[in-house]
Amino acid sequence: MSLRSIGAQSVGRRVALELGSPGFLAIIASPQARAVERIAERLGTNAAQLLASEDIRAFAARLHESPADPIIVSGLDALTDSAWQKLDRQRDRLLRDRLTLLVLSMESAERLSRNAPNLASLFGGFYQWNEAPRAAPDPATAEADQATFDILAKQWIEETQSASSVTRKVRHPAYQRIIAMGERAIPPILRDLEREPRMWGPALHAITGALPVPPADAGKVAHIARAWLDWAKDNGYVW
Amino acid sequence: MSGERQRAALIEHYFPDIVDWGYAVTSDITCTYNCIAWAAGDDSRYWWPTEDGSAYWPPEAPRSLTVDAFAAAYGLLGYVVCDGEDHEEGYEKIAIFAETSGEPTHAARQVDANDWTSKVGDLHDIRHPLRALEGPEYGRVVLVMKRPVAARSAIAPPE
Repeated sequence: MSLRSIGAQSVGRRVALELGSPGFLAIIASPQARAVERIAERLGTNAAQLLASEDIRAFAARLHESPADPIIVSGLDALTDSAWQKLDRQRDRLLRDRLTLLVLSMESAERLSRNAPNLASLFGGFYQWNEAPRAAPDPATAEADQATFDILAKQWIEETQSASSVTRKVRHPAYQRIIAMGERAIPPILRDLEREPRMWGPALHAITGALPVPPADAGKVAHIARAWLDWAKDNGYVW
Repeated sequence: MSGERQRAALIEHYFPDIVDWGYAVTSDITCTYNCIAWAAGDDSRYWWPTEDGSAYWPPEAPRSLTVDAFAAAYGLLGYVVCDGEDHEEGYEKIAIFAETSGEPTHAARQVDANDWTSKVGDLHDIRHPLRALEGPEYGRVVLVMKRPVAARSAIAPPE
């Protein structure tokens, strides 16, 4: 299960891309996030909510009765492993001609992935709900982090700019030290990405676990930079 | 002119012997594409067998850091392994470089009987004798492949 992070502000935009077409999306959120209510509010009157049920026939009937786009399904934490397996076997009953959005906990998402792999393969994406705006870094720390980054980045560029090998670029000790800075490297990386679409994607992926680059944009450096900058903005980064 | 010398100076920094071989800078510096893409005729993106979207790799080719995987990728464009680097009328050739470990490092594409073209990392394209780029940066030529020139338009790199 490949997880992507999505900011609370971006859910509406992401869901809007799928409206009008059959399919599934999953939003993974803790119960405290009140994700269902907030997504429904963001999507307006077009969205409907539905509680999941182990009675697959009844559940499928209620899915197909509603013309809403999307239907937001919750209550999935109550489903057992065998219930997910049943859903997997009867996945064709669940597919509507419009979007079905599942909001579930990480535990339920893992249960889905483990017990309903065929159903999971129908999903257009699994998104981790990310709502907390990030605090701006302390200015003195930020300045020190930028200085460290600048030294390491300069060394990395000078010693790898003749290389086409992404592996060699990522393996370089200076690049690895930037990754080791963790979250503190992200603002300097983003500032550099705004100036030049360098090979910072692997570093950002290593630090955050995110994979915001659409498959069609693989290798397109300007698009990759844009995807990461948009992802960072959606996830509350300040740089 | 002084600008071109400055750019060429970077090439000569990494390949000190290239001046003796003779070469020509044929593009501005750009990080839009790399040598693997350039050899495939693609100047729109990076090619490399990554998993994180940082580079493109043909889905039908093995996603591994081996000469065989790179050969398979070029094979999808109509290239087949051949014996030598000599220019053959009606054919175009590519050469894959690798380190002593066997890890691919570079690819070049033949231009004519004398010269090949390479994208040097995030720097310029250059035109050069094939062996001019052998050395500590790229290792050695380990495989040469060829395809009929007519295949170039018939089997284009993906959009």
